[in-house]
Amino acid sequence: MSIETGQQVSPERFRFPPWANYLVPGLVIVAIGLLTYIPLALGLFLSPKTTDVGYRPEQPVAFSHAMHAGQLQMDCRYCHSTVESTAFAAIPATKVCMNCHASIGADLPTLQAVRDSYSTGDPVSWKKIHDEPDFVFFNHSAHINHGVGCATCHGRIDEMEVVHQDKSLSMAWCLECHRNPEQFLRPRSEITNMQWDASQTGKSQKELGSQLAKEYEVHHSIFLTNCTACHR
Amino acid sequence: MSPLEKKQSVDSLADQASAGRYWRSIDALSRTPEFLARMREEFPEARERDLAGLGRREFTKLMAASLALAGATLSGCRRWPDQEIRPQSSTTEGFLPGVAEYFATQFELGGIATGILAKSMDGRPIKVEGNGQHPFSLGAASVFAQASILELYDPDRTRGYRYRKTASSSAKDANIRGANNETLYSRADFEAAMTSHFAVLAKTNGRGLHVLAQPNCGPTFAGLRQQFQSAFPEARWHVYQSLDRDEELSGSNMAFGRPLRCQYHLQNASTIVCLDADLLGTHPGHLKWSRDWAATRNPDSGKYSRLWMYEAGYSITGAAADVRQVVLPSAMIQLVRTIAAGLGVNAGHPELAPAMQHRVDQLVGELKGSGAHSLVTAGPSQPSEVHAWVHAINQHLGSIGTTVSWTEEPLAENKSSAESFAELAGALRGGSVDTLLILDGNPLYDGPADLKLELQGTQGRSITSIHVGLFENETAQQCTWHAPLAHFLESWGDGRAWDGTYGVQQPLIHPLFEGISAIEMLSLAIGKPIANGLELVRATAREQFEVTENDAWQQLLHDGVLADSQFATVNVPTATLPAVTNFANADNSAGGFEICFAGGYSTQDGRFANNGWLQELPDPLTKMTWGNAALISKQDADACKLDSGDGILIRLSDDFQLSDIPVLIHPGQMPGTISLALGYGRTAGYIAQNVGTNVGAIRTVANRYAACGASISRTGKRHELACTQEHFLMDAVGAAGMKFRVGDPGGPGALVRETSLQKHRQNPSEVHSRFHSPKPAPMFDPPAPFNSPCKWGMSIDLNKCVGCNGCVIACQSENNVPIVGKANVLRNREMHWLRIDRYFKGEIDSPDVVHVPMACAHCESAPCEQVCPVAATVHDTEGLNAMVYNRCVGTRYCANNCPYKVRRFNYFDFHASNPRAPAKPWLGVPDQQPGREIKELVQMGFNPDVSVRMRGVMEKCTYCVQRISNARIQARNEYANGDRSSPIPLDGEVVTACQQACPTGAIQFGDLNDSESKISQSHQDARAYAMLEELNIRPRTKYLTRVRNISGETAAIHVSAGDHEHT
Repeated sequence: MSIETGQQVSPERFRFPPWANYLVPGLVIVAIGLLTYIPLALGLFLSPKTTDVGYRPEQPVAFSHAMHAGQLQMDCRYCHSTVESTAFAAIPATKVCMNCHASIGADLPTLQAVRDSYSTGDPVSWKKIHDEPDFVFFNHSAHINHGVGCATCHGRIDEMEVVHQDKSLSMAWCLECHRNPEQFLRPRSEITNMQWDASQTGKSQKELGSQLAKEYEVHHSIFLTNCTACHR
Repeated sequence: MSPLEKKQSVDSLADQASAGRYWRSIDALSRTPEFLARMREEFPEARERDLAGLGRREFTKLMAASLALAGATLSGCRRWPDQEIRPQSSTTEGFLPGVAEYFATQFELGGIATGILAKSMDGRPIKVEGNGQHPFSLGAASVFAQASILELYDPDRTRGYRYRKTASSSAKDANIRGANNETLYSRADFEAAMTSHFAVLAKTNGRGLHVLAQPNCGPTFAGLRQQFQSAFPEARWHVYQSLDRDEELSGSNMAFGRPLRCQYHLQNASTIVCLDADLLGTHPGHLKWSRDWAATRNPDSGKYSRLWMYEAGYSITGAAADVRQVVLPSAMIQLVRTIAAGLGVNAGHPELAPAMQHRVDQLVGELKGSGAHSLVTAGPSQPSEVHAWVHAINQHLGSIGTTVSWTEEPLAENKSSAESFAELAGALRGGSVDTLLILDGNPLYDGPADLKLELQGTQGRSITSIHVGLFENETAQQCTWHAPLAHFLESWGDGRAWDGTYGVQQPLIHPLFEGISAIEMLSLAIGKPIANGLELVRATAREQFEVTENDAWQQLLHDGVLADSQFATVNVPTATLPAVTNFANADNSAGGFEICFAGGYSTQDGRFANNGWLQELPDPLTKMTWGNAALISKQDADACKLDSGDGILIRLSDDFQLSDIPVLIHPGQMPGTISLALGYGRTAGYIAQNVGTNVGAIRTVANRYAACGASISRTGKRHELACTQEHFLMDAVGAAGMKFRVGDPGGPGALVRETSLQKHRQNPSEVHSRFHSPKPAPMFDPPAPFNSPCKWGMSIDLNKCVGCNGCVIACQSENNVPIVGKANVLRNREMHWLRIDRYFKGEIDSPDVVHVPMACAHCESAPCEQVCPVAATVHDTEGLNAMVYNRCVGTRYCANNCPYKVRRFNYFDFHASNPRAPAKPWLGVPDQQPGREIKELVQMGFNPDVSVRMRGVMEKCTYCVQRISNARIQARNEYANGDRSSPIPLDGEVVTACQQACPTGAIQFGDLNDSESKISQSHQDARAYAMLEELNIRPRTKYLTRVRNISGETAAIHVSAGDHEHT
């Protein structure tokens, strides 16, 4: 019955045309496709490996780690001086740059921002690359003092003209080491050595790592996987 | 339910009260229908009926909007915004990025300085802690000092130097460059304007120049004041503070012929009598008095003091007292004379009511027994005669040098605070004022009701008024000039502690808003070339305190105090007894109510009213937040048929009436009196305005602390009082379960255990004998290895806790705990991780009070963990019950299952929201939806070591896990470098924020694996008990039984002084 007129309406009006039958398998195929594609895409696109690894912002000064740490073989701790004692590996003050650059390359146009900062007292605004979420409390000194090398998390900085993020820094990635620290430990003397590899010592990483874990009294992996180890 | 019916239901339960039960509130005691309804609600903070009013369409719209918002936040490819690192340009010695530095400085209140350590992180002050080297801090800090961090970063602070042309601005001001009706100037322009303004005044010797200042103990300030007075010989200097100590000083004047300051030595006292003296709460030296008092409260060592309190309304000291008696304010003089007569100080005394007399006889006997180890004190609200009598009594008892001594009073003025204010008011009215310089303060708000400052000037006579203050308050709004004051964490200064110890106030940060400090302002007015604060203070240290060498100056800055710089003790003559006269306050022949005025525990005289932390801090006794009320006794409320929340009109005379103030029935209030807290009802200040009622409207010069003959009448209005005393109740099902497993939670010992000294010494474990701790099988396996390397635990000594709230603010500051605003407090949504439960015990008109600080007890077998569907709350291997914010999905099951009710849920992004926002029309709750960033200024005060929690996340006490982690990493780093022998933090290296702030040392924290540690000893104490241990939850926080020093006779007798009737 039509509501307005009260007249009988033919049921034919509500029947799908025959060709609509062919749509059904098509729709099923599309649905299956989407159901696979969307989670897969989300998983891949939103993974820290996709979003974060390779993050390479342009810095205010074209500082080359490849030159300083690679060619010139400067120790990381010359500039990142607080790395052994505090949570932050300090980005050096402008004065540290000027220790050398007051005489070396004093006129280089690329260093203008550094000279400006030194004369005005305003800081150089570096872009933060390795940026953990705010609910994660990473402490450099705790890692350095227990035999985790710079290159383990930061990659081959000595080969980077412009620094980029080399590892995902995701929680799953952190836990790889917190669950099995012996697979990543190295002697404290080799902390800043970019080329170090366990094979240089003639031992396997596992063997050396277990020995170092004992020597450095590295926490039990159950302790290291406490939530409170990193979250506060 | 009418009050009468309510009273009957109370009566029917009166035997319960007298049977020694503990009760949270009158409603809880009498189980009123409102209370039972509240109990039935499982989630009182999320009432379904609020949403029920929402139509389907509105609901769908809301949801659609939320989804759209969620979609918007997914945009952008990188996971969070770019951040920058800005290293210093040149290196600062000793500066390490991300490592806290501590600077010794001072906090001044009412002219008394107290040493503090300000914690600075990357150049931003983020927390105020006590300075262990300062004799009046001893490592503890008051709520006001601690909350000053929020004041420093208050977005409401004055920015820029404001000039406003008024009808009365003098012609001189017309020359100011570009002055419009209202103009903001820079500091340089302000300095130029002031220099020329004061240069003109100097030519006339400063005729017509008046200064209104707060009491200030700084030697630099005092020196500049002298220079000011010689530069402007005819200028008048007025000192005013609302909560003055005039009577105290004139009492000493009366007894000894000169104003002196009392120095107490509570550690030597066995009998302490406080006549309305809130030694442990509001006294300027309360941190030290609390520590000293706590030293006499160890029930296992020989001496144990007894504290007597006589007062009308409950105070912090009253709650800590062993014997508390309520007295009418006007009867105090009779009381003190009776005590004096009993001791033989004088002959003859007024008649007291027999019950009262009996008690006084008992007290007198005890005072005689204690002799030199007695101490009698009177509070600033008491008339000078009472003070004089008290001096005489102490002398008579021979306690001089043992429990009390006297030093000079540096804050004494020729005129009392009230007289000085009256003189200024007269000068303003008389038209003899040309320029008025107001150095901080808010006299238009906190001045006496019968003396208004007429800043507008008179016909033909204009006034230039200059106000220097942190905020554009009621007074600043009326002034020609308003200059931003530099906060004490931004400026140099100096001051002297209660005992005279000299200390320096050093800035931690450059003034955020170009502020000028009081000493710089004075220096500017004198016309000195603008010396900065550092030079002024350093000159004082050099000239007056012989700090000449740079090393000595550095040492002074490092320590914050100059050793051995306290005032010399003064030998006093025999006290002259005051003439026996009747005086205004004692005359209660008019009948009616007696009013007691006191500074608010959160607002003081109103200067802290713009501080959200303090506004939301529950009052120690009433547990009221965001407002004040007229506190009356149950007896009076029944007689006047009033209920809590009813508005009343309080009438003192035709001119002085308080038109509408809510009533709060307060157990322990003296019948016939009304207690009113000052500092509320401000009209200026974003947070402060319209919170509570300004009771200053009926506070006159003559009746600054007490007024007689008040009558009250109901206004018919109802007010909502945001009291937290009934929050976090067990719901009905939970309560029934609890009753089944534990017994009556209100019964003696179930939650709170207390005993008397006598019983404790006979058998210390008797108090626990009715309870058994079960040893059933654990409900699940602990993580292995458990309790390794440390086993953290806490203990709280109920015997020492005075309920001062210091720990609550310390926790708030340390852990970035937000405030939620009144509307949300009313819905049980306050976020404090640490609350102090206040239990009453006994009769409704004279109950005892017990304070129980309550935070997460880190149960080993934690009920919260068993119900979390996403394992967002789990144990770590050191026994901490960890809360993982990034895992929490907000089911709130954990809070529901927590027997202590210590978990807090973020209903909104409270940090980003506005606590005073207007209500959303369709929900009746404030508009606190997120979408706005947290203000940058507010962010500066956050502790970067602690996550700022977002909306939809549960949170709770973490045992300050950030401090544990920092101490552990520090210890292990040192161990790795061979600088120490153990990688485990030593006892005392991990101090929680609450433990640090506690003035009495009631809170202990440490490693239970170390049998030598203080916490292990505390847990093994015979008084230690685990609250609700019958539930097999094995909490890590233990409480130590409270031991009252009451003999059989003194126990549970409360009488009131004087027969009282009112109409």
